[in-house]
Amino acid sequence: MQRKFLPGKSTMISLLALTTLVVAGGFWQYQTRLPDAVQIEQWGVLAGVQDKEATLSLQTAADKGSTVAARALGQVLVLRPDEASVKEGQRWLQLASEGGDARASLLLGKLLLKGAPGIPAQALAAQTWFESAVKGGQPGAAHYLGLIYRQNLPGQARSPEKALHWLEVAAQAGFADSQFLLGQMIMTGDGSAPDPERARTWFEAAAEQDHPEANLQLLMAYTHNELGLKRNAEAEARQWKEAQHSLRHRPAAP
Amino acid sequence: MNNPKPVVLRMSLLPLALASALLAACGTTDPGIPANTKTTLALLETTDLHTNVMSYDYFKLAEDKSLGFERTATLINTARAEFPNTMLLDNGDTIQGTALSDYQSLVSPLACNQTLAMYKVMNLMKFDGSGIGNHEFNYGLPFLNQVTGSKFDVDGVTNGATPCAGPSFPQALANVYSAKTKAPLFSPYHIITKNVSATQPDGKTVMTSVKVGIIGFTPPTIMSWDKRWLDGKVYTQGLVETATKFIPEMRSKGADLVVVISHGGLDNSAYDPNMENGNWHLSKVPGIDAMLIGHSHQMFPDAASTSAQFNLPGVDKVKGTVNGVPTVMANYWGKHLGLIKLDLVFDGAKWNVNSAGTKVEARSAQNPDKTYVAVEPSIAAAVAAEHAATIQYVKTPIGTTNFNMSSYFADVGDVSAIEIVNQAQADYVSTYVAANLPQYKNLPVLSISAPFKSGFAGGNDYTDVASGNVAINNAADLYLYPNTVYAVRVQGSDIKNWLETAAKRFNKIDPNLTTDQALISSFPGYNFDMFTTPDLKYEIDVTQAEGSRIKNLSYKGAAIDTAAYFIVATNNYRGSGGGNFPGIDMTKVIYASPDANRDVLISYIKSLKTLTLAKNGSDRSWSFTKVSTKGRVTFKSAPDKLSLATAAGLTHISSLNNSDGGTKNLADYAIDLSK
Repeated sequence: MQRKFLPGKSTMISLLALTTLVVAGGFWQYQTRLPDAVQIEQWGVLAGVQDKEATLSLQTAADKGSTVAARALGQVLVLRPDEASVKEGQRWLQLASEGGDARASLLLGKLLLKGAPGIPAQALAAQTWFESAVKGGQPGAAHYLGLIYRQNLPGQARSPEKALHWLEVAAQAGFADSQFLLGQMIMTGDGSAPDPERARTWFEAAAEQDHPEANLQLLMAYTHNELGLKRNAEAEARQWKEAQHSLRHRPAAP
Repeated sequence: MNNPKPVVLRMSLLPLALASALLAACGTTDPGIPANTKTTLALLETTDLHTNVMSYDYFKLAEDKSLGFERTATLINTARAEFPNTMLLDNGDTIQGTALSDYQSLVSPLACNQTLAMYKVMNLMKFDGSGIGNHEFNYGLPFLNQVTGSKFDVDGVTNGATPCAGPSFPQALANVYSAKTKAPLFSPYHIITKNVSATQPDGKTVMTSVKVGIIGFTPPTIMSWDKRWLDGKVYTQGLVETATKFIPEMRSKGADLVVVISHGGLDNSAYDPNMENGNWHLSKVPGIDAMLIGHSHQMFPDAASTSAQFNLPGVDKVKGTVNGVPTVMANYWGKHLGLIKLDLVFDGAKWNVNSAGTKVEARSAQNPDKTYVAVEPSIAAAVAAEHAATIQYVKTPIGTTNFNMSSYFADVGDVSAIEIVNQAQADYVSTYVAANLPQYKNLPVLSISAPFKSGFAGGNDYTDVASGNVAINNAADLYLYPNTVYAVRVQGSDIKNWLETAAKRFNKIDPNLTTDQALISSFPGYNFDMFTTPDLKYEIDVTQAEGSRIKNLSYKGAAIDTAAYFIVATNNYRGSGGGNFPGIDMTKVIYASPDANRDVLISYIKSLKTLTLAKNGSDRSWSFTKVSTKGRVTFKSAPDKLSLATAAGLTHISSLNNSDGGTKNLADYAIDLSK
């Protein structure tokens, strides 16, 4: 026997609608509780696909003094291919950073570390922004401090001890790239005595987040009896496929 | 329905039950069944099947009973025999992941009127619906449009008059939108009228129906993972906002139940519309009766799970609930079948879940005695042609070689299994830089790789491709690991440091010792990176301490300029800091390609067709610094392979025995470092 809806009398329809809207009312309340930040992020997504309306909405909110919008606008603009947009993006990020938005400081650091059209890479200038971002509560910035101290730079010698410290801050906060790099330093004894078991726990933490290279490291640890693991055909086959599979969706960089 | 807002606000004060009672009282529905009729509906979930149709490993060309939909199908049959009413739903990551999927998408692309092998067997098993995972986007939007029988209105997709063949079940995806039209790429949800048998209060069994709404979600992070296909063409929306918008709409269209099919796991960090695993937050959106999740390749519920996501607050890993919502994750590759049993009671107007009867489990295809359930034979029969064609493809020659490509003597200078890899990487990166990175077009492109199979596990753990035909599965021997090509931009000084690290492969040799000294250290072969080009030359002086062994490093005949920039083609492991090579990390990467080194190698061999020792297997960049030693310098390799060393021009190698006395099929050799 099929259930069917009868054609409605007007009262019935409105009641049906009201029932629906009673349910919807719950959602409506939920929606008003959503922070503006979510709307701004969504504009950011749309502006990222060159949506003019969303870009304008961000611009308007940023002009009105929203640091979140300034940061979202800057984030979109610095990824555009032309120098003018990048410079404009950098300006918005600086405004947001001055307004206390630590994510903007992190983004500025990344911009300077890697460079962009019209902006040469400058690790030591980036370092200042990362330090500020970490202080502002962005542990992802610690990852980049770790990278910088892991390098030998003109004007700043390599410091594996400082690199270990900062990578651990980011790794503890859950960033898979940091967990992997920290594991590499611990495994090879860079800045401290090698500790294979401790290295493995970091690789496992990163692998659980589908970090491809951490999965590969565990695979190679099985095949080479490293990190306290032993050759094991079943584990190797599984780990091989996990390493391959995770290549298609690596966890986001800090 | 467009009712004015004030009414909403006023009515939202009314308790739900009262509204329902009013609704029932005026008889808006005529189910023909009395209140208190009961039924049980079992939701069955597959997820992350990854085109593992058969219990088969196409790399090894051998059966693998631990995976495959032909066994999951048996679990489905069992569940259908156990429960009178079932609904079979797939959670995506379905059409990509094995050589079979590569064959049907890239090698011999499916015709418009054909159905993908994976969808064929899903049709056969009568799936009721599915979601869309992130891997569905891996082959690009035109392919996804074709094989799902869709009509995407997005840039770069052309549609015929009628859609191509697709699955015979509805697919739902609510959070991916066309940038061109701002409309959802797929139907965001479907309301499926499911016929069920039910028991009336008088004990009579009747046939009736339940309206089940399914809504699908994929990780918003597809935008970075498949940037090359999706950038500027589609965009995503967050899970919570999307669900908040559509679930009331589904209810208003009569859905008795709302089942979320969300490809993703659980993460309770602050909500962000771009987060990868948004289902912990999604579960808090009102109105969800059940969640089918996936993506993490794990099972849930699982009382023994140590996974962080299943030990979050609000997550009951024993009962299988997330913030009270019954939730299942069916592992991956068909290893498990997810099951959520819902007891439903008809209240005179609609069906409601009696949560006391809810039961969630992930059923394994492996029996407690470690054997596996039998296969459902109709699956193999349905894809016999595709399976055979894939095996044929894997065995098909892609070129020929006039020399034996092996790694038995790679540690002492034989490049016969290495140079072709370096050439393929260099060719791939040069082409990319010329087309896409004009700012680097004047930099030299070098390439580096390591002998992944260098005897660690014994005499059979070496690359060994005989002269003659080279097939796809030989490419797996030449490039063992699942890596992708990365290009780094480094200076001459970085190259020197890189090679110093690689040279840790060797022990420090004391020329004055009269006893035997082993040449090879415990430094793994997978980190023994080497160049193989006449342009770059260097010596490794094994009498020196680590860090001071690279001598006479030259580029095009002159000492390398330590400040000059080079592009080096390598892999994702090294480019991400794997092996902890100093100065090599993501900040040096100028191209993180999505293409596997092995696939790049296959394409390159296909383009050359004929490989020769002179062109593809004998360009050594490095040699040992000459030194006379009072004692022997020894190393191990497979027995009886000296002729291969000789063929590679390594005339200073001698065989010491045919077995080193161990059990790993290894023999001892000596190298005269003075020659």
